[in-house]
Amino acid sequence: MAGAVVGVALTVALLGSLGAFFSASKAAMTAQAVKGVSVDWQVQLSAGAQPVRALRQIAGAPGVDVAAPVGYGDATSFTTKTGGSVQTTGAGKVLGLPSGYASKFPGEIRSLVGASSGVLLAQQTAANLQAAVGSRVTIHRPGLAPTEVKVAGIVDLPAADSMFQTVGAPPGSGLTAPPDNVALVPLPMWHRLYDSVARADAAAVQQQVHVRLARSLPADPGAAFAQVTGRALNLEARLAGHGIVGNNLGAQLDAARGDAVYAQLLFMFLGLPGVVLAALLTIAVAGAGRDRRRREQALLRLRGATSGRVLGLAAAEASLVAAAGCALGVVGAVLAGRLALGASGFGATNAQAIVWVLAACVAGTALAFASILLPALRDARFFSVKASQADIAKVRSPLWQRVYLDFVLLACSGLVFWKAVKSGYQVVLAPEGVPTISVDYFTLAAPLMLWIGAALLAWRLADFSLHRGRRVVRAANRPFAGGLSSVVASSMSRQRLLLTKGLVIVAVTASFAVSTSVFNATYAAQSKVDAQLTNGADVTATTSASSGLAPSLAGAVARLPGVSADQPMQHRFAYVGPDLQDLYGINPSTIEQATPMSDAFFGNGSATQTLQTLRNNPKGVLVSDETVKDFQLKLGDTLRLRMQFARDHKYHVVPFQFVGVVREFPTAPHDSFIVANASYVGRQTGSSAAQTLLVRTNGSPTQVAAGVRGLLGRGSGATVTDLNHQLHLTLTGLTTLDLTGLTRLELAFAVFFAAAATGLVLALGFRERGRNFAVLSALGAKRRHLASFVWSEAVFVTVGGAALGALTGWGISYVLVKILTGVFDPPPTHLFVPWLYLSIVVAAAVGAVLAAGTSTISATRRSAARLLRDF
Amino acid sequence: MSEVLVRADAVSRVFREGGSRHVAIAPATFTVESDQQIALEGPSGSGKSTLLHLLAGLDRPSSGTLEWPALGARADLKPGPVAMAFQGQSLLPALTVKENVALPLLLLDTHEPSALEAAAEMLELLELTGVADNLPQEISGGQQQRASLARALVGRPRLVLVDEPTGQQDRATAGRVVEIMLARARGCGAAVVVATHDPSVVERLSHRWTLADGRLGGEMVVRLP
Repeated sequence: MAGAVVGVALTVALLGSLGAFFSASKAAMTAQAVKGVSVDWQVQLSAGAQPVRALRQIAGAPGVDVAAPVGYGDATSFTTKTGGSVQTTGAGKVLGLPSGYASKFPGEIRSLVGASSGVLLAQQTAANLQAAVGSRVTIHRPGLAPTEVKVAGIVDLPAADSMFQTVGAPPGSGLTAPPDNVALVPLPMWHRLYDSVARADAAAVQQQVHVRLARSLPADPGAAFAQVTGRALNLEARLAGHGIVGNNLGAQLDAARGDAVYAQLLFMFLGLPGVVLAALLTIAVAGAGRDRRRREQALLRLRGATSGRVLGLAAAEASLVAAAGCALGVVGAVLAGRLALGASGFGATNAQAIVWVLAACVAGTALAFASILLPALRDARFFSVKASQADIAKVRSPLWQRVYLDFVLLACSGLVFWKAVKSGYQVVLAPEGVPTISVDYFTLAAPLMLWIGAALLAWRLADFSLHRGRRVVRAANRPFAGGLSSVVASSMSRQRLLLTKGLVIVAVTASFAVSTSVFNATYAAQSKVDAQLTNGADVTATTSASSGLAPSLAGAVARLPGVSADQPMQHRFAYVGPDLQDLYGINPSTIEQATPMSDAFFGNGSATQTLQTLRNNPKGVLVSDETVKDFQLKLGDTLRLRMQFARDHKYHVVPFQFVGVVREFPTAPHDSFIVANASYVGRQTGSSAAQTLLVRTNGSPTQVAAGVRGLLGRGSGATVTDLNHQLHLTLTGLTTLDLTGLTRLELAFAVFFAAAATGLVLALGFRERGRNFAVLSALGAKRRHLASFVWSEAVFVTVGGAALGALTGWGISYVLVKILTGVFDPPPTHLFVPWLYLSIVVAAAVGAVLAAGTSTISATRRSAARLLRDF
Repeated sequence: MSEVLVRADAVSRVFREGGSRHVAIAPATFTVESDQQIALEGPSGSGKSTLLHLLAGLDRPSSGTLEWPALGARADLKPGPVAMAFQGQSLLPALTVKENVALPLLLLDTHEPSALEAAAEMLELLELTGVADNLPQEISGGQQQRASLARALVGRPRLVLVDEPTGQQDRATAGRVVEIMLARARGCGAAVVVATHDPSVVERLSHRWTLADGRLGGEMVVRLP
């Protein structure tokens, strides 16, 4: 009974803690999405709108916390006079901001130098104009005379992409590049500058209302997205055509809800198998005493107890097991939550906590009754007293075996997987802006059918080998059983139901341990790859200024302690037809010194081959698959890109030659981008300035990053990031799930399961047959004779189960990684096997088996006389 | 020439469970010799099975000295010189009747075919050939008792200890079983100690011991024809 209590407690604890993890994960995703947005909505007013009235309407809309008017005006150029020269930029934007804008929308504007109010220049604009605080800048407005302003400060605009978005652009139309030149002026000044422009050229001026919403959103990203989107649509309806909402918060939540669905899928595939396994173990543990219970119940019936009375006793036992198991399980879940997940609750909200506790306890209670009462009920209905007293149950092939359900399931699993992989599908489809998410549940049947089919096949193989392969079993037993091998094989054959069950439980446990650990290890490895890819290198310094980083920086950084190599990289923009794409200018011969180049980055050859090709073609360019497809490119084609030249800051055509496909690249975005030779880009554009410095470290990336920051100095405008920081961001970021806690939880449970499935199940099985071992001992069996029975069974169950389970686990993790490819970025090239962890699992299992076997042998020899007194 | 197989000097066996103390065998001094066929009589719970377990070396006395001068040390008694047929169901349920009977020989590292052949002979002797390949649960209680006896006799032991061999046999079969057992024992030069309630068994044996409340009563020697 104690074993059943522990099993129920394990099930409740695992289900409860997994529930806590996933509800907390979803809440964290929502919180992370909200945290990353400064301006939740940008409401663009139409030309005919009355700004004051619209502002009042927007401020009064449900959920709106802050509403502030912002003016956007076009500038044909900005100029400054420095010394004897005049600096002129290309076109730009002049924004009018109300006072206190920066504090109302924190994170939107970052002050770098000088004042935080008055006329502020964006960092890149200041660099282009060689302007500083106090400089006088001339703004050239369309159709009006230039006007001069005095610069009060230099700022960075971290959210420039959303700030200058095209509000109302259809979903999927792609990002609009933010303007290169931006000036921020106080709103009254902006009105003085642009009200007259609006009258002359309405298209040159827009007015927006920036909104910050109250942050009382549902914890679930999907629900939060639905709420925010619904409110935005409601506001648009209220404005009756006078305003369109640019829903920045909705866009962030839109991405998060896709991740939430992946979280649910991971719960299904990584969490639920553990719960099922705990339930199977409970049933096995309860079943280990079933023969004894059946004999006792037969005795009760012989002495006149009715079936109802017998079932009543079983129900009382099940209730006791359920109550104790649930109580222990809830405590266990709280402890597991604290130790593995760092959370002691069962969810982000009280309602979630109640739901998860109830769900876990209902599951635990159902399990207790299923493992104790149901067998008693079946025995009472279908077993005669004589049959109940039988030691060896008659084995008849179950229906699934006769209809070959295992082969059918495996074939179906393979078919579904093949179809899914062949069609290159996405298991989760969350179309941008569309409230519904489509999940391809049919494809999810592939791993499920594989798991069940493999477990049934393990059953068939074990049963077959014990039944028909007695000779093989006898030969395999000989090292342990010697002259008794034939008798031991016969004994095992006749107890094949018991042994087969044990083997299948070990196989299922092994497949759970292998599949979860391999999946989690692969996920963790890819997170590192992702972090490195996003960060670019161990340490990366970047600037958005077209003048780039100081040319002397690379040399200075190379001399820092902890730096093994560094490489400058250009980061420019180039038009491919109408698409503006990021362009990275590299030295193909030396880039690998600072950052790893994986074969997975390139589409038509290895990293070495592709970089060699680029090196051999000065005009060579690598582009994305999408660009190749959109523009029907063939290798060797000339590609005319438009790039900004240093001499006039205008875009001019530069001819390149398409030499290869690039899919991923350090610091590159997820969509289309271009890689070219830095020397060629420098010659063509008139500037060889590098905007990025990639640094490989042989010490602490964080310390090296601090050193690089020191070299750059304050006010450089460059940002320095390191791998550790990026890994933390990646693992807790919006577009990824933090599986660390789940991994700890699952791996700990898997070790426990491995020990229980092997040692506990074997020990209980041996204990159930303690009388038989006592008889053997009474007949004069020595330790080695008892050992021959014990170890033959133990080796068959554990080695057979572990081998079949490991194979299945590897297969399941392969299928999972393939079908859940959406959670990996970039997709892994191979599975990562956590050998150390698996060694710990094996050690736990071997230890448990040794303990079960030796304690059985010793206990039998010690207690044979006591057991025999009952004969 | 008679040999002393067992020598007991003031041997007792006391069971302690919780706070209670139960004297199963009060201090007793006796010997078992190679030409003796002893009937151990006494009511249920009088300590017959406990005494057999002590003689078999399965249990240790609480006090006194117990030795097997002609058989060897306690650890060497089984399998080999001492064999015992238990009262209850003692056949291994996962082995056939023949495999059960052959087990003592296999434990002595006898070549498997020889062990199975010897087992088959014993089963034939005890009229169990027809159920040799059955599992214990497939045969009657009486057949199980005979199979258990066959297992005790198959190894040609020097001391045969039998607990209630005829409890589930009909009268005629019981008589044949006892005759076979005694003949086999004589053939091996073995002593026999039989715990029994059955007078027809008692009257066939040469010696009669009684046990009452753990006290071993006076030895009665019956001169058999």
